[in-house]
This record gives sequence, C-alpha cells and structure tokens, in this order.
Amino acid sequence: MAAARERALIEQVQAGDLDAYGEVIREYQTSVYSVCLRILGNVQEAEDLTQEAFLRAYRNISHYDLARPFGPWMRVLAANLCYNHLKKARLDRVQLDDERGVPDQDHQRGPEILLEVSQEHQELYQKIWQLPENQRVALELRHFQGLSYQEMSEAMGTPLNTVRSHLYRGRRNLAELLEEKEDE
Amino acid sequence: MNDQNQHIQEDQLQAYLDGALESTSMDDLQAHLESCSTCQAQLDRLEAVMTRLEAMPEIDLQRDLSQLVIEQIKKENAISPAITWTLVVEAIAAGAVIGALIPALQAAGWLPRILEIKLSLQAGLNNFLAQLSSTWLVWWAGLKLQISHTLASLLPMKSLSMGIFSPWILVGMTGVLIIAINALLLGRRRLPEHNHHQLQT
Repeated sequence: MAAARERALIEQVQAGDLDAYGEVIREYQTSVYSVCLRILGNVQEAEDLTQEAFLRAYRNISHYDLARPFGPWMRVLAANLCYNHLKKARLDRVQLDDERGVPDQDHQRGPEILLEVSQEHQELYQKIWQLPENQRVALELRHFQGLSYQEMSEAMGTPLNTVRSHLYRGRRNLAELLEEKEDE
Repeated sequence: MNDQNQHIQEDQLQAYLDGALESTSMDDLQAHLESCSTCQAQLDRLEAVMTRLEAMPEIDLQRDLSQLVIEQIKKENAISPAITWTLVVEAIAAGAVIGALIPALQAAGWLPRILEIKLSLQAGLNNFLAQLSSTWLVWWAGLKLQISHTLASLLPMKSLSMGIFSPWILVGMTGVLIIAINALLLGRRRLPEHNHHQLQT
C-alpha cells in the first residue's frame, strides 16, 4: 500500500471510519497473522491474537503517529501481545500443574501441519516452536521485524542485556536443534 | 576481544553479525577470523541459521478477519444493555427517593417554610404540592403501617421498626442500593483492556 494512501486511510480511521479500518485490516492481516503464528505455533490462537491485535490497535489509533509506517508498528504490537499471552499461559499452566502436583510440561505447539510450506520450512517452524517463548519472540523481533536491541528491549518491556541474551541463546539453541535433525 | 591464540566468544560473533560491535573490536575480530578457521566456521554456522530464518515464507491466512474485528468494535462502541438497565434502575430509584422525601419534608413542616419565601409562587405551588403530598401521604401512611406491622412482628423494639423511616436513613439506603445495583450490573460487563504494551505510538 502506498504511504500516502495508508496515511489517508489511518486518518479516516482516527475520525471513526470503520470501513477504512476494514481496508487496513485486509491489507495487513496476513503479515500480522504470520507474526502470531511464528510465535504461538497454533493456528486458532494465532487467529484469535491477530483479531485482538487489530482491536487494540484501533483502541489506540488516536495516539498513533502518522509519520511512522503502520505495518511495522502493527506487527510489533502483535508480537508483544503474543509474548504477553504466552507468559500468562505459562504462569497459568505452572499454577495449575502445581495444584495438581505434577511438574510443568512443555505443551506441544504447532501440531497443525502447515501444508502450504515446504518440508524444510515445516521443520524450521517446528524447531522454532520448541524454543522458550522469550527466545522465540526475540528472534521474531530481530529477524522478521528488523528491530535494534534497544527497540526490542522496549517492545518486550525487558532490559536490553536480557533481551540480547534471549536473542543469542535463541540463535544458539536453534542452530543446535537444526544440527540434531541433520545428525539423525 | 581475544588474542590470536584464543577463540572468539560466541556472543561477540553474534554481536558482529548484528553490526553491534565497536569499530575497533570489529577490526580485531575480522583479523582473527582471517587466521582462525574454527571461529570462521562458528560464524558461518550462526549466519546460516539467520539466513534460513529470514528466508521463511509467510503462512497464508485462511479467512478474512476484518469483518469479525469490525463487528467487535461496533459492539464495544454500542451502549451495552447493562448500562441501559443501570440507567433505568437508577431513574426509578431516584424517583422513589423524591417520592419518599416529599411527604417526609411535608410532615416535618419544611415545605411550607420554603414556600413562604417564594411568595409569588406560594399559592399555586402550595396547592399543587399539597395535593401531591396528600396523595403520597395516604399511600405512605398505609405503607408505613404495613411495614411497621411486619417489622414489629420481627423486631423486638418498636423504636427500631419506626427508625427506618428517617429521611436520611432512606436516602442512605437508596444510595447503598444504587451502588450495589451498579456493582452487580457493571461488574458483569468486561471493560476494554487498556493497551499496556511498551510500544511508542
């Protein structure tokens, strides 16, 4: 979408035009969904969080800076939302498992086979979903959204050194997981 | 940075790939890489992971979500039934308070005193209020009698059963009732969450 067209649409949305927002959603929903799916590894959750991300963006649209491109802002918002969702889900799971007296289990993610991508990419997705959520989100923000360490720190609400550690460990662990596969 | 006999730490290699090293450190690291095949292999390994990551295709969304989002926004924008009912109940409660206060004020002799100040309106308004209050007084007296009989059978002391007719107690009770109804009705409505994310807008 051309920048001028996007800016005009967002201005209409800020004035309360929902048809314009529908057009914005249709333009960006696939890329936002991709962010959610890469982080969450679950089709239904990814669809739900994609909707929630667009709802939150709408609630905050009056504060949106028109000088910035909408797509990256929207995708980072979605990544942040997914990260918080995973953290909350993990805490709930730990609490539930504690109450049941069983140890925390890493719930399987990505059981739906992504039929439209190649075997190689399916394997890569499966490996990414095996990483801890903070490493997954760090990889997403750095490699897919192109954020700097400082921007990642702000997006995740985490100190810069911690975010850098998540990123480095994420790459290291992913490399090891991929090598395990090659050794089999 | 390590000397030529030591290998480069992996964190430094990652920072190098991210372009996050100081220029002097970067020069040292590049010089080391030229002479150390182990570190060069480690760098290639990390770079390969990054290349594979960034080559991942997007997954198509199987359905259009725009209508679902727009409908949800419309729902949030609409006045919810809970708020509508709250307003109705509060209007009724306010009417009841006024209805209860008029005969109470009349009985206390406050209304005529207030009306004396408004000489020009006194006659007409007094007549109107007298009719209104007399109607209410009859109803109110009957209700009081009924409630007193009921309470007298439940409470041991007569003073207690009559004490609830104090205007201030009635106003207080009505206020508590309104707060309780608000809490009940609005508590069931999920308020939109604020966006607490750390993004700059």
